[in-house]
Amino acid sequence: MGTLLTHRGRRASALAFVLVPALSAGTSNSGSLPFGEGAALARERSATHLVFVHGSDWNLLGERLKETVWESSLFVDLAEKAGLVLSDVDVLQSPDDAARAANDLRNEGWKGTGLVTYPAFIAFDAQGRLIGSRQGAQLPRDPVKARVCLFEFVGCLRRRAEFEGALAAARAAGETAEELALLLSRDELPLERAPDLLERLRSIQTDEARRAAAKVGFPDWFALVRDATNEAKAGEGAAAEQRLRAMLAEPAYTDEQRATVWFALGSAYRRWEGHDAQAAEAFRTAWRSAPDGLLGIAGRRMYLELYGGPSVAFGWAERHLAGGKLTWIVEDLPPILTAGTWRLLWRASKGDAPALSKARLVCGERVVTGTGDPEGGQTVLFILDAPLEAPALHIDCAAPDSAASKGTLEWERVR
Amino acid sequence: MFSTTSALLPLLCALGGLSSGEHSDALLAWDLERRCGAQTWSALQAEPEGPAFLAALCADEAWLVDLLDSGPLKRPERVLRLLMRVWRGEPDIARQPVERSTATAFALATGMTGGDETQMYARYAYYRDNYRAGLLNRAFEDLQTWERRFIARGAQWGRFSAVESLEFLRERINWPRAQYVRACWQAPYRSYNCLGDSVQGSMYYFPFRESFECDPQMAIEVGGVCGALSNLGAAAAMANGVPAATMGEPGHCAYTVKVDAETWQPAYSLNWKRSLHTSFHGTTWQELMLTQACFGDRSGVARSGELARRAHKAEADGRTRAADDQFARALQAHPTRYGLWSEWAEFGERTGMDEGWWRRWHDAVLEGLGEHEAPAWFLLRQHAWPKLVEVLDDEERGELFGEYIEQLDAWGQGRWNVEGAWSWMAGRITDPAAEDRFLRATATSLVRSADFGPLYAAWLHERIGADSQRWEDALRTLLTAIRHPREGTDAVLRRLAGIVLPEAATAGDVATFQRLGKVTARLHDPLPMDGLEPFPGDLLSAKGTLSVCGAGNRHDAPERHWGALGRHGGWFHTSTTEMPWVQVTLPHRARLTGILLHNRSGSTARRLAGARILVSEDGVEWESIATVEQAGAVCRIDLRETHPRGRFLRLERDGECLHLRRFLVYGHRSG
Repeated sequence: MGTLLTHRGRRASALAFVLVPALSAGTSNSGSLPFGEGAALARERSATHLVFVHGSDWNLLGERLKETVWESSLFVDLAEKAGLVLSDVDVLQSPDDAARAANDLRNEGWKGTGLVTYPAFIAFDAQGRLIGSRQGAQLPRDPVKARVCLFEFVGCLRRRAEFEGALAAARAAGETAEELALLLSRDELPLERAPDLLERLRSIQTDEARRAAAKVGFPDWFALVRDATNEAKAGEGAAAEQRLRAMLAEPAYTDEQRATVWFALGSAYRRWEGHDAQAAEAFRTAWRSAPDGLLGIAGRRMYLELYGGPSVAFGWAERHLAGGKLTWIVEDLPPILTAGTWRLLWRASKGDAPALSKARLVCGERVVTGTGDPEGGQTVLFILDAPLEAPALHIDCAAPDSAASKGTLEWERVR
Repeated sequence: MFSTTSALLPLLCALGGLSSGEHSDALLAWDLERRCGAQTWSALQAEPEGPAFLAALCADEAWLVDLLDSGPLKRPERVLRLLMRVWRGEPDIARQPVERSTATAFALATGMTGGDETQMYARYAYYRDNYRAGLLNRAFEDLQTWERRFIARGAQWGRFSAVESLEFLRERINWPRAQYVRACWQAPYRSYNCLGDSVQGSMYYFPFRESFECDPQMAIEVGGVCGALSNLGAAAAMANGVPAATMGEPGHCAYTVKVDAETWQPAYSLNWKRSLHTSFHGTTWQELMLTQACFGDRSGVARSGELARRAHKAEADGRTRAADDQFARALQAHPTRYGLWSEWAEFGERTGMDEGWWRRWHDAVLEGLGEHEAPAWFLLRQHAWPKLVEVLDDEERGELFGEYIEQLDAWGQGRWNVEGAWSWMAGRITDPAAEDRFLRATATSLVRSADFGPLYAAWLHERIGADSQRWEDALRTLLTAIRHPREGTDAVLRRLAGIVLPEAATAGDVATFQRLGKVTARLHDPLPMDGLEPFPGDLLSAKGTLSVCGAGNRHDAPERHWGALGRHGGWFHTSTTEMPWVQVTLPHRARLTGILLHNRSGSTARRLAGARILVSEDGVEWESIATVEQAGAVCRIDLRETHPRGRFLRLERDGECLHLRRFLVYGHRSG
């Protein structure tokens, strides 16, 4: 998703070296500098500048963290060993004029860079560029856990500084393999992506670097899908198709990235007259590429709602009732059905339900035929003596007299 | 919260004629039972632990006052059921003022909505737990119960105030109180999602429904328009314990945040026509301001609440006169209590009070709510005027309404639909001559108000503009009233001209255009005629009209249109469109000798280059007679060789817009 507050799943194994110290509060140390002074000192020392942004007259959590974490001697020692320059910014809610003036003076130079929510720990490099932060969902509300989080953050910053030193050396020595390894390791740290990463990767002429650059340079999902949609709407569907299919030929992409491309392709086909079948297939492939990812889920929903057969998610609709005898294929059963008894229950929410004549679970060569529930009702039971993977449910039924029929399909394990 | 009630007793006694012996928890408990009604009360008593809960509640004066004096108590069965549910789990809640107030606010809010009680309880638990954990804005602790009711009601879109949304927003948008007016912009404004589906349709969010923790997160990632953005902004404030409310505006959704103890600040608001989704009595902004004025005065609320209870008790005891007296005292003590005015009026209805009583009630409203003219109007229209109008003739009605109109001076709490009030009043006067007298009297009363005068002029034109004689008379009245320059009169004239001049030009009403146009000359100093060498013949345009494409757009000044046709000088600015145009209608057909175009200064003067001049005798068939070659300070179009004939002249160009200081047409009258 790439939002500021969401880890991109990059965890650094290199963090193992960070020992979480004993979690007692330790003695208080309020030696952090005003922002401007801290920034100047960091520049002078070529050091990382760590800023604690809080609100002393309105944000109790911030004050708690300030007292128990930020000002603890344990943290101050750790920060000192890591060579960090510490500053704090207090953003007041309702100061009187004198307090406001004094506070504004102390916060001089602070522009709010990197701040999304309060409280926040935000790190900048010596030139004042954002390196990373811990705030919002990344920063636990519990002070003990918050302290662990902050110590881990310091560990990341320290590790990043080490990577920077090693990168400079590798670059100077012309060791491109080492430089690539270091760039990728640095990018694994749960920090902001370095702005020069893509440029660096592209400057290394190896296949591995090219693949890494492809992954890193993958466009923003929203823009990719929007642009493809707009191209198709403007009558340039073929151009969008060509561009996106070329992207799919890139083997470096992750499953989630491939799902994004398939989803964009689905959207382009959807807006391209006469390409419904291709749209269905593209959305379905997006789903199958990354079933739990953002665009995989979106692909499933688009496919099932607009193109696919009846589903557990959305039931059946009028478009599924064309013709007298129907064969429905339900594709969104759970990916693995454990051994036991499973039940299909269908209910009409509008009009009459179709009359079901036969239902079976299909998994490759294996077919399990359902039986009517002895307790009656519109149910079918399936008894599995062994687990079934990636099953599809085939239903033979007769359309109701009225085409104005809608309903739900429920699927559950009963025994 | 109102634990000071006992301490206020001597004051109450002095103000309300109470004896301290009469003041008791029993009266509060009696009032609660009265409001519940016998059936609800019995049902509650029959619930498991119902008697114990009611006993605990009725024994706690502070809790009762909180419950009874924090705004309307609607559907008491729902209110008390939720409160009882809280009490069962937290029997010592009465000793925890913040939790008790929060629970009471949620209970009262439950009575105002049809929302699910279990969800309401879950949301109450969110605030209780997060307050205890110190995760809400510190301001939450100091809120009064009535303010917490806004938080309890939540945003218009229920999902934005569900517990999972609150938890997300508490972490994602945790800001100083006043900054929540910008919280809406955490979501990108997108009319179409990336699949090209409109936000107005069901497919906008459909693909993304299962992928996010909650709807606010989805709005931040996927986008939205005013509805999602405003619900996000308001919900973010509320998730952190800051009162806020969403509100509808024409074609738009906005919100408001209580940025400090006294100030509700509109957020993402584009229009004064706001309709709040959380309100105690009416949904207008003025009523929110009145609610703030009322409940912000805690001692006033306590005083009036006590007296109102005595009024109801007296009525129940058959002491009608004493009840009436107590109502009057309650409102004298705290006139901003809107609900109490209604209660008093309902008392008047129940007891069949006569015209004289309603007249006194009317006068009391005017006196008590003088600074809140919109709520006063609502009350009078709803209760007093329908009664009084029945027994008055047209002249007397006009005088009655005039008493209210006389109080209009400036917006007390912001713009409101005062035009609706004028229309209602005028509509109650059946005789046209009497209506005209009422309209003229109102004009005289309002025209000098910078706030109401221009509006009244515009409203008046809309109401009677179609009847040329009536409008002529009204215009004379207005202009007579503003003859002597005073503060505010220019604003009236500007507004009047802004509406009337373009309309008169469109209608070809040269007389109105010229009459009003001459008056507008005083709004601006004359422009020098340097470099404007006239052509032979008469300056015909000076007696005509000017129509401007997109008149009144933000760059235009319709009150200067008249000046642009003559020696005085003026200004017009068309809207930006495919083919912007202006049209001069001469008073009669003419043989033209020349045209002078007095250009604006600055870099945009270039826009005149390439503009075409067309002439027409009938306004339908047009003939191009010239093209402006160069956009100088003055463009001279010499027509002495061709002497084109016509009554209508048009200046147009392709794209962008046109703007001039003068459009002067010279020539000779032609048969």
